[in-house]
Amino acid sequence: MRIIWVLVIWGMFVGGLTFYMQQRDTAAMVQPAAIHLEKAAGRYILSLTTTFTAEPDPFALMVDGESPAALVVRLGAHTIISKTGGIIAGEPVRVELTDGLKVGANELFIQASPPLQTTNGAQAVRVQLYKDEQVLKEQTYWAAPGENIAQSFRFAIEAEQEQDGHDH
Amino acid sequence: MKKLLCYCLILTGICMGASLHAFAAESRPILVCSTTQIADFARQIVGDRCVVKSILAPGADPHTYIPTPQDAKAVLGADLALQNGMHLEGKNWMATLARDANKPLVTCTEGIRPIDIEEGGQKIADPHSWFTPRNAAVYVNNIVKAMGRLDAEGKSTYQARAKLYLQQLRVLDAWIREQVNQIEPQKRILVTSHDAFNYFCNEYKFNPQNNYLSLAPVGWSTGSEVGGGMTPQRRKQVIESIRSFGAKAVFVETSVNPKLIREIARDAGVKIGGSLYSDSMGEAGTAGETYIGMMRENVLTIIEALK
Repeated sequence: MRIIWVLVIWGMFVGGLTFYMQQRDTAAMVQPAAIHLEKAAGRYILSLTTTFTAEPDPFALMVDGESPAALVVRLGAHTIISKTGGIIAGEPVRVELTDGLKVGANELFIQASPPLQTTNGAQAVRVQLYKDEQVLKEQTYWAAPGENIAQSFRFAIEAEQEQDGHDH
Repeated sequence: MKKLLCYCLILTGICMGASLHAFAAESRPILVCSTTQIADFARQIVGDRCVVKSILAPGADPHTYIPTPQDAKAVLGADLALQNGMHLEGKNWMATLARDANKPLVTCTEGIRPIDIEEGGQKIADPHSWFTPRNAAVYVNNIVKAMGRLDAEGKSTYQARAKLYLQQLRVLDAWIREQVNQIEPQKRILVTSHDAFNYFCNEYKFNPQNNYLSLAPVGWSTGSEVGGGMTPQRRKQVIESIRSFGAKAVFVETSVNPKLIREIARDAGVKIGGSLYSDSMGEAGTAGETYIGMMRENVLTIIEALK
């Protein structure tokens, strides 16, 4: 009889403790508020000009059959540019951003790989973003010789004013 | 009532002990690496998700190392074995350990373009390929690929860590070029204990008079393999080279007996420039305990001595 009491009390103690530990972390959880992002209107062109002839990065992660890139531009998880060659010093690379831009804050990840052997002079990438042929933002990113240029290009897009379709 | 409470406590204690024992038994994947450099690369990639062990201790020589029963036990308990390859591990001791334990083996130098050394009509691929950060990046990529296969759940974190580490290697490479640039190309003469620095010399343009290859009295291996060891001709040739090339210093290696290179320094009339990490990294707590630290300290020692 005594052993049954021992098992009952012990079971209640351990069961209560387990229940408490399971509930402890779930009780405080709340549903996150939904964030609604509005698609940006207009035509956006990104232009990148390097002061060096970019080379495939020998220090790139190469898994799943990926090739090392000389120039990479990403918007979130979407790769906009991934070039292994053809990036010539002083020649701009232009690409239209057709999808993924939202009203409010946006961020492009830009990575360019200068040649390893360069030991004189800093290297740079000039980034220009045009909206309907007007410069929305421009910035130059610098790196020490041989180092990669890896930067976040941040810009904001304002909501378009509602067009009033009625003639007065 | 007291007795009842006592029994309850004993039962709880037994259960807690059992669960603690289960927790203590290692559930993480275990990687066993042949060299300290590979162990460091692996640690940078896997973080605390895996246990990383190195067969070689800091300062040990992979060419002449003889595995112990403890090493065989370590490989037997591992999920993955990693080796340098290209016969760095004398008589292929790591491959033998992995084969005997029936464990998957990764050769980290796979994909590296080797520097071939001509010895007695034979071509030997120099195994000391970690001596450029660019080649170290190949080691890292091979380990990431193997880890993705071993532990698919951790693949994204392995890749994220590797990306950061690869950028550190790129910065290291740029830093070495900047440091080396302080020495005029004709004065970049590197004489070491054994031929471990071919990749380093080739990448950063040391020893122009020797076709940008290592200068050393002992061949690519300190063991008895073809092209390894020291011959009187090699010794004489190195002393002549030191004199004719105008070398300012010679360098001791941490994993090789310094006696021979000290004798050569004395015979050639040059100073000992310092001690370099070569086939093995430094002890824990020293500046050379990591790959980046080892390369940094080597470059600083070389630059200070040759300036």
